[in-house]
Amino acid sequence: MQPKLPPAFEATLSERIINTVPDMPDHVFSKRFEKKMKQLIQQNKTASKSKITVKRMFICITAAVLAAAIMAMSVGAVRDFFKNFFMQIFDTHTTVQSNDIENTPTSIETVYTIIVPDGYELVYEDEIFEWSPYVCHDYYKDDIYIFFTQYAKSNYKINVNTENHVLKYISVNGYDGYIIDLGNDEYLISWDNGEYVFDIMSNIGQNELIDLAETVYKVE
Amino acid sequence: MKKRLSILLLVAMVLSMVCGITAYAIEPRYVYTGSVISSITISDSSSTAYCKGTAKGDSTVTRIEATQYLEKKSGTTWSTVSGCTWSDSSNRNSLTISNSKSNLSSGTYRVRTVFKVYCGNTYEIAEATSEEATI
Repeated sequence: MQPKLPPAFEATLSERIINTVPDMPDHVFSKRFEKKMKQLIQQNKTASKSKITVKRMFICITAAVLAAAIMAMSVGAVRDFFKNFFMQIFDTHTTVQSNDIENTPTSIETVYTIIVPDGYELVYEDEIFEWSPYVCHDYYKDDIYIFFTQYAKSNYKINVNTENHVLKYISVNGYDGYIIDLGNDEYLISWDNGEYVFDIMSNIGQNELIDLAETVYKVE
Repeated sequence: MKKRLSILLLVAMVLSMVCGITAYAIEPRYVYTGSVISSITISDSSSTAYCKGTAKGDSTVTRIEATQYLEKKSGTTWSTVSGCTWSDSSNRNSLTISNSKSNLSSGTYRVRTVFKVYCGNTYEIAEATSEEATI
């Protein structure tokens, strides 16, 4: 077969078929049909659009829920070890516990005290019972205060102010401890001598407070 | 339209959840509270719980109020033991509250102390919960 024959045959055949069709006016769709069709097309477009939006929204919402969960976890306890202390850090405070309570007294069996500078008045002192978990001594001299407390290590579970304050390591007489600058020259210092935990909170000044902590001794 | 509204509502719900968590985390605040502690000691011989709590504030603190609760564990929830809610106050920047309750039934107990720490007319709430103790 000649190579040009098929296209030529196809062209004449199409022409012949068209010529056999009688002349007819173009079909006009009814207004109702046109309206219905427009509605269907519109609905189809909206459906495909909202499918994408819902999918994207789902991703966004999942991300938001995940972010909320992560936030909730971050404001909860963040556990950390700090030398002899076990700490749970929260947004507003830190809960501090003794890290090693084995073979230590569960109440105040041996009393310790500090050498308070002259002029201070002992305004409050805890009575000591066989069950006492800790003992407080509050001293005042005008606007200066000194709060000295001795804790049985097993009962030392204290919330200290770390909201906008930093907890730093300090050594008192060679024992591990921490100090918090509470602002306005007020400090909280705490240390563990292996037998008990002690803390002193005061507005006496940082160096004076450390010196005061180092005067701690056992009452015979 | 309905779908858009429901999506908006869902987003609002998620946002409110996030905001809710944040608000919960902010309270209570520690601005002028230095430290708070709450402890429990049990005497098995007399089935007595000794409850103690202490709050220490900085030099701006003018008053401290405390409410102490002895709580018993029931399943996973804690409820206050009947007649074991105590209060005390101090017009200094330190307060220690001590109480006891004898003839307790066997179970697991803890002490929760809620401190209202005043700086003039304003106050903040600081709370401390003891370890658990069993009779």
